[in-house]
Amino acid sequence: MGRGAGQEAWGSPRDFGSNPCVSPPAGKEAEEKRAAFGLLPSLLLQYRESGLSSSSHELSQYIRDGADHYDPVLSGTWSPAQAGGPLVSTPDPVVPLKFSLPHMAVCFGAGGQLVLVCPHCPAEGQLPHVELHSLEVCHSPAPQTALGPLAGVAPFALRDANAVHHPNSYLSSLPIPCCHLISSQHGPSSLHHASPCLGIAFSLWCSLLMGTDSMVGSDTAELLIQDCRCLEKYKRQNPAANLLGLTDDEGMSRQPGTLDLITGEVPPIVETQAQIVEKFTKLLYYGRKKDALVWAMRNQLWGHALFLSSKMDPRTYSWVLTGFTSTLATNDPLQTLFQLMSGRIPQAALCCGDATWGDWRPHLAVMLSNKAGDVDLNHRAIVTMGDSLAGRGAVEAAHFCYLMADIPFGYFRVKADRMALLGSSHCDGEAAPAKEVLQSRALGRFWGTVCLISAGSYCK
Amino acid sequence: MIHDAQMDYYGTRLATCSSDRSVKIFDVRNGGQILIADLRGHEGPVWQVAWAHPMYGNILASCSYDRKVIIWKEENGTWEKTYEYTGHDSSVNSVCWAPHDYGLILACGSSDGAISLLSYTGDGQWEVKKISNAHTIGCNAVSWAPAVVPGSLIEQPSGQKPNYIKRFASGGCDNLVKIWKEEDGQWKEEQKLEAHSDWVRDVAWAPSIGLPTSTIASCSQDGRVFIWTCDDASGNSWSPKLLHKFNDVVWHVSWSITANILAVSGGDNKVTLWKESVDGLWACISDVNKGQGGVSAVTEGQQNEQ
Repeated sequence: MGRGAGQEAWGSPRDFGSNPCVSPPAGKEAEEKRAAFGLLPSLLLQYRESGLSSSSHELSQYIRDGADHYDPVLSGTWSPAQAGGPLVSTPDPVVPLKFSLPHMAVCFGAGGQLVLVCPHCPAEGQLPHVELHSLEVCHSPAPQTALGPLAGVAPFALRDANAVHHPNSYLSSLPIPCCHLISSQHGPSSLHHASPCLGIAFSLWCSLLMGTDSMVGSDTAELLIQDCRCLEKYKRQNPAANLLGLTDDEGMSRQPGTLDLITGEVPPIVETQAQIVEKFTKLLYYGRKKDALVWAMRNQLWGHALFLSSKMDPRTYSWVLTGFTSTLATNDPLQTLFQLMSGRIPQAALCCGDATWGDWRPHLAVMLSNKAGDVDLNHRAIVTMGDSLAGRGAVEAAHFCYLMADIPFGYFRVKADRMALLGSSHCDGEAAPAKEVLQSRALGRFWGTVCLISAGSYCK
Repeated sequence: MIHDAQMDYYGTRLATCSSDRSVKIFDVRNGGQILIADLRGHEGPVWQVAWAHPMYGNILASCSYDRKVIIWKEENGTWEKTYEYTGHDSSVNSVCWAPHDYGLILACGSSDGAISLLSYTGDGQWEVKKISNAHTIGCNAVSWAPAVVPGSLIEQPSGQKPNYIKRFASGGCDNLVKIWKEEDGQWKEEQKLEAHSDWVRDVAWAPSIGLPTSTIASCSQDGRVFIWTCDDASGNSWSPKLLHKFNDVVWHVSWSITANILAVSGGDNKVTLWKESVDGLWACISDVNKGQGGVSAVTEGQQNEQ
């Protein structure tokens, strides 16, 4: 391993085309150069005297130490005094070349692509070849495409997840590297699978940058729902089981097929809608409102039951209401909506994130689209949902909730703060969370950028 | 021979530089490769190019064996030389633009051992600050630290200029990685990181993700790649971790945007990607094979030689 000089492998620097560094240039240009170099020592002296250069005590110490390590062969090259001497207005060929052997240059692009310069030897007729790799290639084998400046190759395929483009604006240029970053890190198709929340957040973010001045709750709700491919069937509970609170003192028969002692009829086992309503009406002929309600509720005649009970006393009304809502599964988004509209923090806000509870997204959607008049209640409900999700480890989902609730960014170290913005300074103290966790929140950084840059509130 | 290829901030353009003394810019949108500009001005192999932040316009810096640093700018669709710096005595090996928050500042490392800092002061004027004898024999690489403001970015009232502490790392032929800090307008050597036994070929300061730790990757002629981390904000205690010992010189190290993946290229003409696991161990996640249809994923846990 040579010290970078390695000239034996590729001949002298002259092999790099006609390198004028080796032979002195002639003509006016040369004159100017000599003049420039003639100035050099005094220029350096000027720097030192003006204090512009770093002439601190440490460096002066270092120079003294460093002198011991000077390679005597090279030392002649480096002394500034030499420049004024026999003017070869070129570096002495002894100056090692930074690269004298074919080497592979690699660099990450701003968009998350990897730029690769393949090693090539021009002396052997090899053409330069630059490749652009998308990082997602590393996670799943996919045909990569290569870009060769001098070798015609397949075009570089830009993995476009949601390329947003706004002309004439520096700000609008922000999304492009971010789009590339996210799509390249997660893969366009895998973005949603890997993290549904990131997928939604990304879609929301793109929508914001499309120029929407404000996003209403229902817009976000739409994004939340559109990704719920399999909307769950919320399992209903047996309605009969909910009528336990009913009094049975009027001796109503519950067994289909048995004689109803009051009307003298034998109720058929399966009743049509018309028959149910007919019986409901009949019971009311006799003033048996309670029985009518029980009958209606048992037979899913909710409209009639609710109407009747709403005209009776509040206690009966709320009894019927409870009966109705208990026919819904506890994790039905409808329950969430009704609870919210009744002025309570929905149970979903406390239970979301639990595996048995199901997808949190419809619940958030229903809360965002149907905000109750009480702003504080809405806010608390969404924040509580975020807290529940965070407590169960669904960090990204929690962050989404917090953003929807317009929670301000805080400090990482402060326990009371729910979110901190990546990229801001976080003071010393406890141990930081695992880098992986933070990496997956990289989106938050761009969120923050959008929050800071967009004027006014972006989410109503 | 192409020595460097850099993508611009938007991923739309690729700049390459070569031993043929040219700097070329290609439009690589939508898989195309259209040559936009062939910039001539250097008189020796061009070692590195660097794109400035787009808020300053389309600006590219290049450095060469001919001791020159040239800054090119695109005006009205054509690329032209906007500034030429000839203050070095020898080959300029590396150029790196500072974070845009600091202004338009370029650090240049040279084989004469000095590091120059070119700051644009407006109206086509550049101010030069020079660190002489930064590395004995020569400086091979420079890399800026990300801009970090003490205190939250959000709390900062707009209009008030934040108080940045500018830092950058350099690697040299004295086998050292050094960290430089600006204090009262002067650049001072803050840290000297010793671990390599041969020339340091490249240094890369990892982008910030908001954690209070700083991370630097360095690679060397000795085949080793070290990851240096500093846990305290004052930047006083750096500890190295050996990523891997390769069998040949390691030329380049580069961090991904979120700083969680490090790309390493070596004399064996292979590029490997490394990622830190939750428990702090670095594992090779991929072996990017050039020119082939697919990428082979290396099993995680390629042993780190200690």
